[in-house]
Amino acid sequence: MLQPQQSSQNLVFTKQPYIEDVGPRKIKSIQFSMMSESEIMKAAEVQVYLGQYYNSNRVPIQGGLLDPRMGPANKSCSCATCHGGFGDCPGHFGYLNLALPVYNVGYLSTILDILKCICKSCSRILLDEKLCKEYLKKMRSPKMEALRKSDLMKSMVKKCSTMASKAVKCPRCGYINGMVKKAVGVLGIIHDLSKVNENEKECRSAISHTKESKASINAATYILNPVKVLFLFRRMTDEDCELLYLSDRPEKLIVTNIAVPPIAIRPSVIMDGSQSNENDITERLKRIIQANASLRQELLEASTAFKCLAGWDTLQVEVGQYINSDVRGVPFTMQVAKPLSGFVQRLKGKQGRFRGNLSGKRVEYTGRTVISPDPNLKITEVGIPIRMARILTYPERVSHHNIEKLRQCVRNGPDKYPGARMVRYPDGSARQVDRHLEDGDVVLFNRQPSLHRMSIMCHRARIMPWRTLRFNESVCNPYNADFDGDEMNMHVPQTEEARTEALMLMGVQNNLCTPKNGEILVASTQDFLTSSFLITRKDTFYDRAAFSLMCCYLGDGMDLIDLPTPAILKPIELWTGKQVFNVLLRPHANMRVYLNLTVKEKTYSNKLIRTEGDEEIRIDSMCPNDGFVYVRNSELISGQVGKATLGNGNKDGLYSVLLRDYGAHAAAVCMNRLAKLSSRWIGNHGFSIGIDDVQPKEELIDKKKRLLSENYEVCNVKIKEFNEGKLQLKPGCDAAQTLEALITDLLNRIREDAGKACMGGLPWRNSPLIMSQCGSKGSPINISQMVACVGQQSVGGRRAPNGFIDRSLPHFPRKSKAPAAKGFVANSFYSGLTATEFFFHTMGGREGLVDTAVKTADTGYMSRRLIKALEDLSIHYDNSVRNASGCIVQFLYGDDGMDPANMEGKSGDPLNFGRLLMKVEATCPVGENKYLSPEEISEMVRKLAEYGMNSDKCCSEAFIDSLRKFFEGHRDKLENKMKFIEDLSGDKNSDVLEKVVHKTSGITARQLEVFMETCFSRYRLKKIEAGTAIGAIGAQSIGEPGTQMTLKTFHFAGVASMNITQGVPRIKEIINGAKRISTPIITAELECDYNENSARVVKSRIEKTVLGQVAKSIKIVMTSRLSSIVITLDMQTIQDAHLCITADVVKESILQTPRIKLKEQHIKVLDFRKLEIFPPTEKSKIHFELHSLKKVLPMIMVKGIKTVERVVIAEKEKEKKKAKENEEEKKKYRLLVEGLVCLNF
Amino acid sequence: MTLSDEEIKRLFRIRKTVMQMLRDRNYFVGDFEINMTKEQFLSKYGENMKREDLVINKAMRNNSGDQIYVFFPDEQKVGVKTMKTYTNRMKSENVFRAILVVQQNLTPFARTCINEISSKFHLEVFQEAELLVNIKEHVLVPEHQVLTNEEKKTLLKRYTVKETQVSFENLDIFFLLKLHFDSSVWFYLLLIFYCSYFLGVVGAQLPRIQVSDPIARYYGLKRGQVVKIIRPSETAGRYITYRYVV
Repeated sequence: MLQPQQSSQNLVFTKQPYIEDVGPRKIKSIQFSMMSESEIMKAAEVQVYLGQYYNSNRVPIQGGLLDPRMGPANKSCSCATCHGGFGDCPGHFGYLNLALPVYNVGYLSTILDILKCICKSCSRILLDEKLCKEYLKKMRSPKMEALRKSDLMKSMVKKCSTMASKAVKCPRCGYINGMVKKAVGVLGIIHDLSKVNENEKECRSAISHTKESKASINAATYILNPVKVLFLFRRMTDEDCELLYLSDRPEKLIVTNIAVPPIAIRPSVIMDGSQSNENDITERLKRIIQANASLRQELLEASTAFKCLAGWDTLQVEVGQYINSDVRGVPFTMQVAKPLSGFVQRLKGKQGRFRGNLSGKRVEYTGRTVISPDPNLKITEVGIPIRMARILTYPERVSHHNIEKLRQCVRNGPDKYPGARMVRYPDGSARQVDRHLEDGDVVLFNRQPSLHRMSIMCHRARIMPWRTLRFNESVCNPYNADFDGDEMNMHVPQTEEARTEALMLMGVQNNLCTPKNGEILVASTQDFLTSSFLITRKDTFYDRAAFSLMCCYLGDGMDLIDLPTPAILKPIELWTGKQVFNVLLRPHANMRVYLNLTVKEKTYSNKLIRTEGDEEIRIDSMCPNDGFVYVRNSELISGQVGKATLGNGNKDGLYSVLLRDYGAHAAAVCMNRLAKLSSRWIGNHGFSIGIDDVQPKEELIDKKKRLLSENYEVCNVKIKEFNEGKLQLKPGCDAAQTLEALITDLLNRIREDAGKACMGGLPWRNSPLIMSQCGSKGSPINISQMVACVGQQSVGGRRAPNGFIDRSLPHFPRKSKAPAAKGFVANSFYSGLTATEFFFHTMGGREGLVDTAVKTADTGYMSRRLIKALEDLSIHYDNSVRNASGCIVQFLYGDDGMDPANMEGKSGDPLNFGRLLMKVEATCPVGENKYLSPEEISEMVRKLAEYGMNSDKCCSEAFIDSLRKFFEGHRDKLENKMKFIEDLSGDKNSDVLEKVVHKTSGITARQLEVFMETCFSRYRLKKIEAGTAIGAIGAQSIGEPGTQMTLKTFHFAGVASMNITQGVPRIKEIINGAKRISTPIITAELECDYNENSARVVKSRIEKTVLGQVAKSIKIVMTSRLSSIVITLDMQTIQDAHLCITADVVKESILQTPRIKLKEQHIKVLDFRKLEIFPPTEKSKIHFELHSLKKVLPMIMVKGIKTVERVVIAEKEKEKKKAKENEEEKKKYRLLVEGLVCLNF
Repeated sequence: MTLSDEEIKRLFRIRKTVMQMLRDRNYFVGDFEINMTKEQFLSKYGENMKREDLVINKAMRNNSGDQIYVFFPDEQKVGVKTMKTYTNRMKSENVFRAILVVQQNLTPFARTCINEISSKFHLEVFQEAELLVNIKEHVLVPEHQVLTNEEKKTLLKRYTVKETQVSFENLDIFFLLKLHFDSSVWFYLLLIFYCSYFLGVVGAQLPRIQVSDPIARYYGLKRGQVVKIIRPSETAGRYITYRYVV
């Protein structure tokens, strides 16, 4: 405890929090409250009453806003209270006395709630004694949660205010209370007695003749000013306060004194010269003081009450804006373009105290510059400019291993690299030298937006000359970086622990895969793919010199390389390009990397080889384009490698397989080698693109001309048909939609056909073609746009809209639907666009730009919400997924507890059995071992599976099942082949044939054993680790792809004009939990799904049908005596639609329709198709009644479900294919129901 | 008033669903009652049946003293009067649970009445439309099993899950901040800490299911019970989860 104050000199004022030394203590309770008038005065050191800062000598004025007793205003002053300097004084409060009290805008709603509940005369609660007691009992019960209590309070307010909507008499004093509400347009509260006051009518009639009658129409509403409210609040009993769930006296909610915050939190910055720049809060306070002074003056003058109110209102607004500058109810005259920020603005939003200063901070030891590529760096490295390395430091502890190096650093000083900036003696014993960054230091590398965890990874530093940060292009993908001026950030971890952690968790090597789906993310791109594609061409051969040179390109010239046997020995030794790849995969014989994989490249096609009767013989591995990549034991047997093999996003690609089978290091080293080889090779080989690459040939030009004229002709015919109204409609579309669909189809076909013709005519040497084939850049569409035809430009998924009256541009006739008038660009980029074409092209281009701009904000907010919702989910040691408060979200992560980053199968299965078996067969040669028979296989699999199941119970059922199924398939294949062979040969040399079968699809016991063992051991490693932050990973995995979803047009897709919301809008709907989704569709499977008629019947029963659709006529019949409405039903339509509607049904439905006041006796059924209605009204009004009925009647629903707008009969796509195979003509149907269907269906 | 064919068909289906529901709740229901055809149904209750005739009374399979009633009131909207007759009947026969199958809904007074007598009689209300189809047989509804008390205890122990709700009465926060009196960083930190603490720990730590959930109502679950849900899973073959009724 503090000693009784002996002398003030013992007191020390610091910014350090005061810590009482009494050992650990537990907080029992904490209470938040407002400070009262007197508390503010007590806490303050000075009364502030002058709205000035400095006097002419630049000394803070006494009693001003920068009074030295509140702390020093700048470095030259000292505090008048504690005599501390600018650095030590924590600041002291002042106070500011207001002439009249004002509302605190933050509490305005609370004040309003309280006022609603109390009598405006005696300040007691407006409930009777009994009810009060009941509520008080509930409020005092210790069992109830805080949230429940505030709900109770709200219900009490509701009870009091609903009573007050009429008039409520106070049960205690009998005063009649009116409604209390917020004043419109000003900061204030109104007590509305207009419904209460009975004198009011009298009053109004009395003044109705005067001039001011209009102005004083609200004579019965009284403004409850703060003085009055303060008076009411002061009189409230403590019990009532408790009843209203107030923890403190309500009068504190009203501001009478303002605490002027210490200068430390509103610093005054002196600009050069005589200017000083004050904080927004200080300026606000100044305006408050001014408003206060003028109000006080007004009060002293004791002029009219009207004028006084004006000053008061100004003060109220000023104090309101001091707290929240966005406060509503500020009069128009006082609104400024950029208001000074209030306290709420200091806290709120991205730059606010919470998000800007507490959750996120600016840090030291960072760097940022432009990035550029360097294929000579390893993928785990980052090139750091020397200038940066001289500033960024790492505190290295001195030991006798590094003392010599550090001595040299210290000698070099802070400016000469490699030097040191500081020498520290943290704990006396060991010294630390803050040396410059050097090669091999661990740094974190990051590019914004950091959408997933691979946006910030850990690299090793490589100090290099020049001024950019450099890294291997293979790592562009995870950062989503390119080199068109992108900048990236770098952070240097400062402790050995941080370094290790960063390397283990964030190292590039440990993040080759995305945890989203286990696909490889760090992989070769662009030039690397092009050069590998060119190197592995079938016709590339290298002599000894060239081949050796290429082998040297692979590494740093220090690596051991075994030259393979040349593919061609005579007349000269020649090596193939594919052999370069063999060396790349396995440079020397001591390297134990046996890669086995098959990939089908983009160019792959399994062409028909020959037909044998009905059977078509296709061989998977015999691709005429050399697109079948087969690597066996690290030898590239066939295939020209491209993006599928080397690029990202393929789970069976080369790097994926390397990563899974031989670890991250093997994959990384291989990537390094390929980067070096290809960049050097392509530098020598040369690869560029010129105008001749995109010149169309004569042949192509002719073909294009023909295509255009043909299709334009068809278009014209269709347009003509449309104009004459003869166009055959598509299901579910009107004429205009049908025409649009047809024309769009035709025009797309022009582009496609032209593209095909163009691609077919390109020589193999064509650079764009090569790039598109190997997948490094560009698609066939891009090429054909350059060479042949740009194609239709679309805006919002449609052809160009009409910007002028009935036409898109004034160059075309009105209402023209011709291709050229609606944005079809027939020219190519080579031939050049016409003016109108160019205009349409910019329209399409702009849509894309706008969309990207809009979408970034949209998706960014979406991912933020996702992450905020899921950030605390993690895996616990009992394998359950729990949130921060320990609530279980999932008992086993993903149902099977596997790490999604390690899944090898395409559809998320843990292992790719087919590939694994291939690898086992290749690495585990048969030799002298015997093959297993089918029966033996199944027996052994059963045993091994059982063993795997029982040895440790970690394998999921699905995994064991899939394993079993895989082998069943394998065994069946073997059996089938054996049977086939037996049938073929009879008995002759079956031994030989059996051997052939076994060779193709047999397996030995040893192979099977190895296979199963690898399966189980790998499965175990793929379990997710406890502690993984699964929530953040999940949120990022949804948020990150969201940013890549472009264009609204892709957000709608569907069949038969039934659109389904997709993409970002749909995800938004799901996250928002929208009750009314934009396209609700139910797919209903039919019980008898092959009969179209029955489908139609069901459809008509579900779809909403109104009377107007089935009535032939609804007529008003007037006779001299009676007038009525006669409805005649159109039986033809009804029968066509398979509806069972008769006059009786219609009558029933009319009677059941709400808001039609017809009774049974008013409707007469004439026959099964006619009914007559006699509305029950007086003669004088019957005419109007009849007409209003005639208007309403067509809208009456006679059949179906109210909410179902449309039902479409759709054919099942998959079933259709099957039906074809079975040569059955039966089509299967199902219904797509649009709309929300309620329970009563 | 006789019932139309359509309505008889409806009633037949409803009765079948009710029987299945009672069986799933472990009441003693014979197979013949569930597999009853429409003809048998007609012959049992006659051509001009009334809803009131359908009343069912069943006992628990393992405890014949624990009985349940199923009432089918005739009125479109069930009022307090009908309720009173039912409760009197239940009182006289010492039955404390009943299911009310109403055609449309209850009157608001009847609803409050149910709440009032809930301490004595447990009345569940179903609409006829809800019972036309047995929701348990829907493709998307996985298998649910109600856990016994012992099973629940072992489960809670296995996952070291707290059940009781934590009360924070002693930390009586009223969200009136003294913002412009104390703006030190420590104050904000404390505020953040307490706010997050508050919003975090409320309720049991298991995943939840509402009492008003159709399946929870089907099994007549009460607050605090736990259901085991076994559902097919793409990745693991089958996945078992538990839900705590709130």
